Amino acid sequence: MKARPLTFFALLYLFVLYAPILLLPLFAFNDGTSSPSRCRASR
Amino acid sequence: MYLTMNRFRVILGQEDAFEAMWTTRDSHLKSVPGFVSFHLMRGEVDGDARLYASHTLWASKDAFLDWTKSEAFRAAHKGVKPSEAMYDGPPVLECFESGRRSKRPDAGLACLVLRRRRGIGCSVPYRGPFGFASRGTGMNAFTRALRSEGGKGLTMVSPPLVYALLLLAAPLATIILFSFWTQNFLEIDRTFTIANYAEALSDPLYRELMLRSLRISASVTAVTVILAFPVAYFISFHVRPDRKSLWLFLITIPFWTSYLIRVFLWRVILAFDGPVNGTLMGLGIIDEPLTFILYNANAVVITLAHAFAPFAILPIFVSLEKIDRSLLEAARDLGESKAMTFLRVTLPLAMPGVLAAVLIVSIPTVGDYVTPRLVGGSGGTMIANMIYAQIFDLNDRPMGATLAVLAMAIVALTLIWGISRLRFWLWLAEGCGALGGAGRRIGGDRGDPGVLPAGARHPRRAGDGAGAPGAGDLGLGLIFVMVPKGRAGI
Repeated sequence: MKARPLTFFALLYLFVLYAPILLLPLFAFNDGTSSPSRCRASR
Repeated sequence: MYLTMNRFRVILGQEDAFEAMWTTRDSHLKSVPGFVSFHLMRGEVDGDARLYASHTLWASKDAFLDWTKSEAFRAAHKGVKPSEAMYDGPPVLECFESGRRSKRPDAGLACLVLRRRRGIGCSVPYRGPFGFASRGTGMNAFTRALRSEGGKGLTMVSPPLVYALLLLAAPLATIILFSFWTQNFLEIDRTFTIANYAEALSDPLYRELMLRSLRISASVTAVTVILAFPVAYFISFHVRPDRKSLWLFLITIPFWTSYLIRVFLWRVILAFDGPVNGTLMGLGIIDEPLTFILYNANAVVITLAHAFAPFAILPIFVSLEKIDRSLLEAARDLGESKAMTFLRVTLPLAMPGVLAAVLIVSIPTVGDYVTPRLVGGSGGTMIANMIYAQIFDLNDRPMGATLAVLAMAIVALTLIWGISRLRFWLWLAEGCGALGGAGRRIGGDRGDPGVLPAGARHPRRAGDGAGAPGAGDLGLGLIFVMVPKGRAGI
């Protein structure tokens, strides 16, 4: 694809769009008692 | 009953002569068996002629036919010479026989439901040109209204209209009604008062929350649209046509999950020990967690900008797709730089989509409740949270309703004001008109100088009309309603 900066921006934007749902597996595979700190909900 | 009607188109200026001809001649009708009555009806002016109709009522069709063969018929028409200078075309004879009778026995001729008989006896429902069958015909006003064009249209849209009234207008009316009542501890005082409005407008807390909601909404709109535009531009101009659908598909996938879950996950991402702070601290960029990205207005803006991203990308993309590429080529051929081509051609032509995105994002975000509730903290509380607190926590439904009505009114006024400020963009779009003329002269890529290429339209019109319908058109519709008269041509 042409326009590298635009391509980079679009891919980065796409990543941000996917950021929340990328975390879903972390929650899905932890029971909340033994999860690492990053999997806990914010205090 | 049998009715014969002869229609005449009498040239203007000949009306008196025409009427005199009918009133002075002896028709011999009164002596004809089966004759009931006769009327000459004067109609409206139609073009350069006035309409007339002669109505003759007979006891039966046979009575009429017998008359046409009688001496009386020949005597009545003896000496009548049709004058071409009097008529605009030949008279038209139409015959009607009675259908079912009305329940009103005194309605006489008017109570008949008439059927027109032409040629070999085909009959169609009749609507007279002089209101003959509509006034005093036994049909009530409601029936007449239903049979009119407007009535038919209303009948067609009535199911969704009732649906909309029940689900939109009725709750809205209820909220407005509540806003003029007051809460007396356990029960509502239904005395009409504007005390709630006075309190809502004078209390600095409500004012601050409303202004904050508007500020957050404006920030979300700006961030969303500014970030969405390059993405939409990239998909429209730099992605291969066969992959555009894939990109649009990828953009919409993250939003297949629940809105609540996405907001909650943003709270995790922006948390003190979340991925953002963890990554930045791991890279050594920051020494301690960032505090301005959670439980304040910034967190609300970030989360809402994510939530409304596709609602901004899609209308802008549709608008960009509609742009005639030959106009861009024309701009370059005429010496514009890439940047100026974008600013003077692409951006003005994409404004319908941008405006649609602005409206689609800004209107719902003002009244968002979930996001400020989950990630806003005390600094990100918005007017919707106060409305909720008034209604459910403080049990003051009238005050909650008052805040809701005020929020709605302020949003409407703000949008109207904002759209009225769009004259700059209108000016920009009109400035592009000269370039559009150049594009026409060039004739596009068909090697057809002087001819507007197929699909090429004036830049100011390129955003509407033919083409793939999309959210851009929806936004345009909203804008057309709001933009002052004569300014809808963007």
